[in-house]
Amino acid sequence: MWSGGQGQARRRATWFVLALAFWLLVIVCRLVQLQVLQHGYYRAESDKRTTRVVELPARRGNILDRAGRPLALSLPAESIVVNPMRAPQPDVAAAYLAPVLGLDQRDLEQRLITAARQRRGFLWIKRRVSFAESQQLRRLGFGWVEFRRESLRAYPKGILAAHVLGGVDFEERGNGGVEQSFEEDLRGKAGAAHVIRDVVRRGVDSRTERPAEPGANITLTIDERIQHVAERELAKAVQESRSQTGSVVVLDPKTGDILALASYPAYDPNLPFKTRQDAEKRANHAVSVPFEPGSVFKVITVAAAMETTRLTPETIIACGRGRLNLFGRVIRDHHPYDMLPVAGVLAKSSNIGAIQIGLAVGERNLLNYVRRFGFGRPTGVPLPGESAGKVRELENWGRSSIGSVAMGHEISATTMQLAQATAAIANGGLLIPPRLVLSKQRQGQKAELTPVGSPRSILRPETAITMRRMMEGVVLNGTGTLARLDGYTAGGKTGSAQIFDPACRCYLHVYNSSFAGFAPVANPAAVVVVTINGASVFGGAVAAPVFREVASAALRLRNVPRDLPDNPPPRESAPVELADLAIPALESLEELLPEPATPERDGPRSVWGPRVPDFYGKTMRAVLEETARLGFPVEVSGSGVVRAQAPTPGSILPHNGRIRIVFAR
Amino acid sequence: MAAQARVFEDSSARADWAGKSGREAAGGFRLPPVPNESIYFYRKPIDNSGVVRLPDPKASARCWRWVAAATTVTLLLAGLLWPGAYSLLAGYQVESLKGQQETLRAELASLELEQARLVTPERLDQLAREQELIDPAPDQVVQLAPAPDGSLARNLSAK
Repeated sequence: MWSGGQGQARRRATWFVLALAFWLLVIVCRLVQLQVLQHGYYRAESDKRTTRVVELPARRGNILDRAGRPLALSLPAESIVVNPMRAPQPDVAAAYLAPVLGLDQRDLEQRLITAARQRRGFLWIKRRVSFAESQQLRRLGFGWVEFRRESLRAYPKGILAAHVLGGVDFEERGNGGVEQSFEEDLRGKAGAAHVIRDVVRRGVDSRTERPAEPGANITLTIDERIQHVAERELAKAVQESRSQTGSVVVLDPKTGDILALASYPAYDPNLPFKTRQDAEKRANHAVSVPFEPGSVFKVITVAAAMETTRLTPETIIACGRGRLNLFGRVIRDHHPYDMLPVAGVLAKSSNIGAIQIGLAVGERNLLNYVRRFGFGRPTGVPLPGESAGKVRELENWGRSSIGSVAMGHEISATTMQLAQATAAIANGGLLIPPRLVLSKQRQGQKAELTPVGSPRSILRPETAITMRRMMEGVVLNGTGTLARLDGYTAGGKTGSAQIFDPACRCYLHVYNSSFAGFAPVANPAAVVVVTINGASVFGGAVAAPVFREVASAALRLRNVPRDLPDNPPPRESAPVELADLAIPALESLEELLPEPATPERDGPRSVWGPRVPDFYGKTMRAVLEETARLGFPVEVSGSGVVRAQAPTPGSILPHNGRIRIVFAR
Repeated sequence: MAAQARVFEDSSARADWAGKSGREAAGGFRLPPVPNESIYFYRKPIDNSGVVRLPDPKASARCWRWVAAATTVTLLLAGLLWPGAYSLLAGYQVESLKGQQETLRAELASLELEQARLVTPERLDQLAREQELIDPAPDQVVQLAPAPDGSLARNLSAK
């Protein structure tokens, strides 16, 4: 019996072992199929569930002022995302999220309900939250809240230089100013990384496939201190004069560097624009909005005359007692003048005098010089939407157009173009393209400096110096007396162009009031052009004081040595005529000419100062070049070679003194 | 088998103790109210004193071999799995540190922004006005060009 039972047990054991072996074989075969034959497929399926390719956002480059102070920064930020299908009850979710993120609870609850009804698996709760908000929410540890890494563009100085900087849209792409012009440089290139996460979305491992390349940092030529003064004074002037808009440009005349560019009204680039009014505030009036420059354009007319005619600053111009019939069109000065020297025409801003000078220059020459000074084409400043202004071709000129152009009408220009033209006079006759970007620097690379634009000679140096002297007369004796600076000589020209209303096809009694000037006269270090649009007062009254404040600040901040005595003589208490549409009667021609130096006026004889060189026998060109190089103020008369000079060679030039030189054949 | 025999013996002994045979006690062939009640409800005295364990050196050696083999396999498995497990844990740690690094960078950037906001010209202007500070007059600004000997002040020379 036992032997029979043992055999049966063995058979059973054998069958059991065989079944087990078969079962193991099936499992092994299946494993081979899964792990070997279909390895690639299942590996890919697994990776799909655990590994994600994450874009590494490239940090947008910073924008700095010329001293390296930050004007625009990018900082990492997080956006809050919720899957409404996974979130708890909408009212509960909203109750937790709304107080932390500063959102309206009812509105958020409604958004969650709507998204859940639409079976959406993704809902932005708030984009680019602050660091504190993000940390607070993270501490709550909700598994259904996702943090998306993004970048936040911030402008720490608020409205400062907003029109230069521009702004970015919600995708952080530039939509104005430097942000738009240098989008390619600032943006950088995004990288990519493989990130492995576990089931609760914790990071297990990550591998950078392509590192992100941050955008280049851009250093502007803007000086934020000068920019602040320009914006502050412009806003004050526009508000006090109840004007509409305005702009200020400050240039370094030797390099074309834009030290400040202000436009009013201003805006805060940190805030997105929503209304049409917000969009209008973003218009850059300094480069995008041309206007009829008016009397400030007489500088171009007179410069053209100095170059192309035999007129000199002392040449007498017949001003027709304030009335001129130009090919049937009657033009009047507000105040009648009989005779004025060319310098007086500029100082007193006589329209008829300017027209007479324009007629002497001729249409072709005048247009040629208008173009030479850069009008009618963009200056090339790297800001979007720059206007070229408007300069009509000669065949489109009417018979009286020469008169209009000579006094700054029938032509339009931007504040930037006027600044470029004024800088050409200030730097000795070179038209230099304005430069806004000083350098660009990519991470780990050397800064790439932007070269100064190629200068183009448009005036003879002696003409430029003569123009500077005549423009100084505008500030000392003419319509720009409110532009006089303490401690510095200054030259400039006022302008007040009536605004043409297309609706009534007439000129209104509101003006584009402007002032274009430079300082110091002998060796200008700053050019300042101020434009106030829609003003009810003249440029000499509203724009010249802005020039004074901005130029004073610019010279002080740039450490420009003073060229006037510490205690200047008190200003005349008599009221000054600032109207450059109207010119008061002139008592005598001599009052426009500089008075000779006298010990009584100039004080005791100087014992310390620069010594006067010997100019005897030299030509005018040689004298002007040498005095310009040495920075001596000079006053010349006659032609030929130097026959007389005062002070005598080797003597000390008194402070605020000039070298007077007489040329003769 | 011996233990089973003892159980049967105990059952008849219990019947004896009750004074009747098991079949009589059950009223002929009556089933007990609970199956196997004799097993679950009555203590069965079993005497194992007669069972003696004989020493088996072969079984002992086999047992130690099994222990050694199991330990070796366990160590091998642990050795194989340990790097992977360690790498996984280190990965968690590295990712956590990366997160902390990002957080610190974000904090640094927000502090830089705050610093830039604090020194805006407008704010400094306002603070200066509150302190009744004014721009210096031109005659209050003295430009000091350094002399060839390095001195800045006119009446002092570099030592």
